[in-house]
Amino acid sequence: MTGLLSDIKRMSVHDGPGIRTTMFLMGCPLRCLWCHNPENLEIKKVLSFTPKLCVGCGACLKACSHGAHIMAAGTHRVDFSRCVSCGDCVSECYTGALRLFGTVMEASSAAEKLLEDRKFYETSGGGVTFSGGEPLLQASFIKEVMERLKREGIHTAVDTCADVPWEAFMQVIPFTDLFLCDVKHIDSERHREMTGRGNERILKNMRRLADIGAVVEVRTPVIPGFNDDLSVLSEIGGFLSGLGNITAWRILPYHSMGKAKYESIGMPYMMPELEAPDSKHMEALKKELRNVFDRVMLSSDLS
Amino acid sequence: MDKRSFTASGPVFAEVKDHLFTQYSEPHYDDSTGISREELIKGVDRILEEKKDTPPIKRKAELFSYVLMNSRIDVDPTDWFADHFDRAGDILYKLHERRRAEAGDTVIPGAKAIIELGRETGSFFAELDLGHVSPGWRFLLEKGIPGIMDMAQKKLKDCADERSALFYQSVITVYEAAALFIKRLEEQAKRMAEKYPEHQDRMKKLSDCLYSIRTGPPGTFYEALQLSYIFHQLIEFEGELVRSMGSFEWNFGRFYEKDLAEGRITREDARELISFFWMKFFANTRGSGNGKNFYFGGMKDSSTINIGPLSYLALELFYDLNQPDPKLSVKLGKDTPEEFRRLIARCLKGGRTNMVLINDDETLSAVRKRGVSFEDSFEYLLIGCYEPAIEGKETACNMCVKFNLAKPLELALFNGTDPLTGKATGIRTGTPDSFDTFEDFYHAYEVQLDHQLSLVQKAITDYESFWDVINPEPFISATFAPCLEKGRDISEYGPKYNNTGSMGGGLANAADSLISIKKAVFEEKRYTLEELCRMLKDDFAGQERERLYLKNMMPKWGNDDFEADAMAVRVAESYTSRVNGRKNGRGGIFTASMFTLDHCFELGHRTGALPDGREKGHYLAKGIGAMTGMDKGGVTAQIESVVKLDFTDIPNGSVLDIYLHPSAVDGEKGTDTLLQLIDTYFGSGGYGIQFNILNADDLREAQIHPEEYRTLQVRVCGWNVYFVTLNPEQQNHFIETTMQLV
Repeated sequence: MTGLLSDIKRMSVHDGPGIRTTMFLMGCPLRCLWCHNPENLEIKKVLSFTPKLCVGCGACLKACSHGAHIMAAGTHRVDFSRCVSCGDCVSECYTGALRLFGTVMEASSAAEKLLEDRKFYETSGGGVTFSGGEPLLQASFIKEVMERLKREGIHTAVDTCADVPWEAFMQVIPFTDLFLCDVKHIDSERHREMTGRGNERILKNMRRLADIGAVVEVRTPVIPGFNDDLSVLSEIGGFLSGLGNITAWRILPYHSMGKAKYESIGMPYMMPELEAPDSKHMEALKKELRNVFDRVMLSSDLS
Repeated sequence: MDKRSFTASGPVFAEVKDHLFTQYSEPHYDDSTGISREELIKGVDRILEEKKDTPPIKRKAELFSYVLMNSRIDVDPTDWFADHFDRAGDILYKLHERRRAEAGDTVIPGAKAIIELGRETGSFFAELDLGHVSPGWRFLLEKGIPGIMDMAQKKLKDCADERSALFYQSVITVYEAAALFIKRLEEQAKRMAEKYPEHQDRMKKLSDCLYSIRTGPPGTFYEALQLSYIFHQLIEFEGELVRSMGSFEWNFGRFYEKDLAEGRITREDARELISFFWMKFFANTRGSGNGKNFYFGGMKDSSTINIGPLSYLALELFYDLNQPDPKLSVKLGKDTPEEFRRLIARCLKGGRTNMVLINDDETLSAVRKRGVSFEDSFEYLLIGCYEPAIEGKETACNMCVKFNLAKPLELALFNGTDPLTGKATGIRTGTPDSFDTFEDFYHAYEVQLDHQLSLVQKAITDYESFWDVINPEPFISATFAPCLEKGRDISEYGPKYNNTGSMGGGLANAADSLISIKKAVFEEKRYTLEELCRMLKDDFAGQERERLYLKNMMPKWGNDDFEADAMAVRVAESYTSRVNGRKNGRGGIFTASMFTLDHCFELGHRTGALPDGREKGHYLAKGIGAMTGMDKGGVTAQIESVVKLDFTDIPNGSVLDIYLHPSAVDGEKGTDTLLQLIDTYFGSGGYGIQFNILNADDLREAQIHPEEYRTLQVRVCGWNVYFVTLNPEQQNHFIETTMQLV
């Protein structure tokens, strides 16, 4: 079967142990304000335009039959409301300024692609990570890819927001070595304010993963004004220590690097301007949180 | 004896560091110790005139001796080491250059013309590279000056042929001069002890040390360092650069361990001495030159690891000093201890990237394949940057030829005429419309490649036969056991191995251009070869869209792309098979290397627009990997591509430049990641690898506020410099390379 993915990134070192390749799948149930992969929110192809790479050749205007490209006063602009994501303009753009996120790929060819760096996985204890978006929205597809990878002895990880039906988990559990789950807030209302949905299903899925003894690493993006104070984070830590199957809890500082991506796909960036927590603050949080949960880590700590 | 010998009294390194940093840039000599520079130069000219008919080696020895006897000297009372003398503006080096020019003008004008045309058209830069030689350090440290003199005297007594006699006489002359020069330093140190009572202890120890090394082989760590440095200076004075300081461990480890065991020094003492010693090298380049290397790691024989307590101490200090010079070459093999590897990773992550890592197992195979014996192979050191040569047994002359692999492509496209200069330097392989298939075109590429290589090899071979006239070097030659044994100077092929290096640069540009021609012209038929030639001739004027098509839509070497990689492997084989094993002019062979150094700029300036989408005059690819900015598949893909090359066919060395964003190697996990990348590269048969761990934003900031980034090091090629000392083109090259890193 086929899946819809936006990218495959080799040499990824922050999505599980060792040197990995990460596949980004499209579609996500949540709408976190700080999301840094907005091109992956919908299960559909998305046009992206990076003005600084554009040389103004105008080839896209000719290629587009929907009037989505506008050249005014020598400046190229995209009217995203007219774009149907057909990709006709992208194949005429040689600069890399126009890009279509969304590749339909057969599971078997996806697996081939993911095996290219197997030497690095073997040397480093790395493997393949499925991320997104929410990879479990395409659980049947990634299950097929994973079956192939497991036959080759490759370590697999699924990076999930956990807000999916339990059945999706059931499909991939036999082939998953590690789940990377996001827990962002314990208070469901606060969770809804910032992500668009409550956290009931997430917490329930986390308990179920604990019940079956799945290996889970938890990640919490530390967002100023949302969950960056000790009491909120301690609540998460308290919840995690009750589970018993959490191998590590990584707290990751919020960053605003996704902002340019919003502009390039014509989406408004709703996140207010915030200062990213500095490394000193993160170190201090880590130290304090050790009192609640002993395996708190920062992004590049070894688990 | 006081156990803390070198940290007991007087200024410590930190206190005199800034002062010592100026020792070569602002030299001062004691006028009472010798004659003025004007008189010295007059004296040299007088000898040259009077000894016009004396054999060149003998005359050279007399000149060497004259300057060492008569020049003004200096001993700094705060320094632990003495070496300063007035080199009369490097007069012997200039003489060597003059002799080389004379040879070209008179006896081998044909060779000179070939080399000049090569430079003008950017086909190759070539010269008689008499440097890129390493002294036989361990032989020297074992025998010492008197030992070498004894051997020369004994050999002289028994020798029948005149040539050998001349060699031994010259060796005796220069070694006597060296011993007397050291005696002059020793006496000056004694005077300094009197003049500066506060430095009496230091000057007393220094004069004792100098006495020891002129009367016997070095017996202590301090003496071994002092002797090595004096030789470094005197060899360079003799007329060529010292390109490797040898193995820090193998040269000095035994002295250090003996001193420690016998209570002569402490670990702190040794740290202090190495700091002063290494400052000599740093003060020479001041962070803007190509530096001197020591190598670390490797094996002494098939079962003995060349890593001991001194290596750990030195690497720790290397980190703390954070100087771009000396630079390191690190041999990593399957038996290298993890602790040692982690120290190396720590240096790289901490911005101490002034090192190249060499795959020891692959290099041993490569040097054996080119004819080095099993026993000798372990003694290879890295000459200059990454070029292996056998210590004290080989003159590898690694940089005779710097060849542009993209030029034969231009010659094939333009029927033998260089498009930029209009010079008909190639073969008439046919007009663009005469090629029916890509294979026809590739054949033309090989014909041009072969022709250019044959030309330059002939020119170098001609020059090589005049080396003994141009620059006989009895002083360095006597550190080569085979020279001393045979009675032949290194310029007379005295060493056991006498090879000539040939560097191929711009592999990515040649391969990427060929693949563009194959696909866009012969497969897609997007344009004819004539149309493509026209675009190139016009430097893509009015054709920016097509340039971007060629640049961004065609496969590129270094991205784990099957087709592009196969092309690069083919180009590499076409090149190495026309270099390796071809006879040079000294009884040895040419050996191939593949990298570019900073010649990527100068060769690029002389290369027109290429079918890979590169514009006219733009720099070529650096190193063996992807063209700058075209490694879009990332680090692992680039490594997967490059290991498809057979490095045993590139025995004169190569290097893969890896650029990483600091976040990729952050923290403890980052240390592992770095080592795993190296392990995978080496495990798959890679050769040399070096790193820049940089953030483009920092580099842009450094361009705007250089004063805040004075100590930011970048690895240029086989050496590091301070980023702020680079010209804007070179600075932008680094920014362009690091921009796409996330």
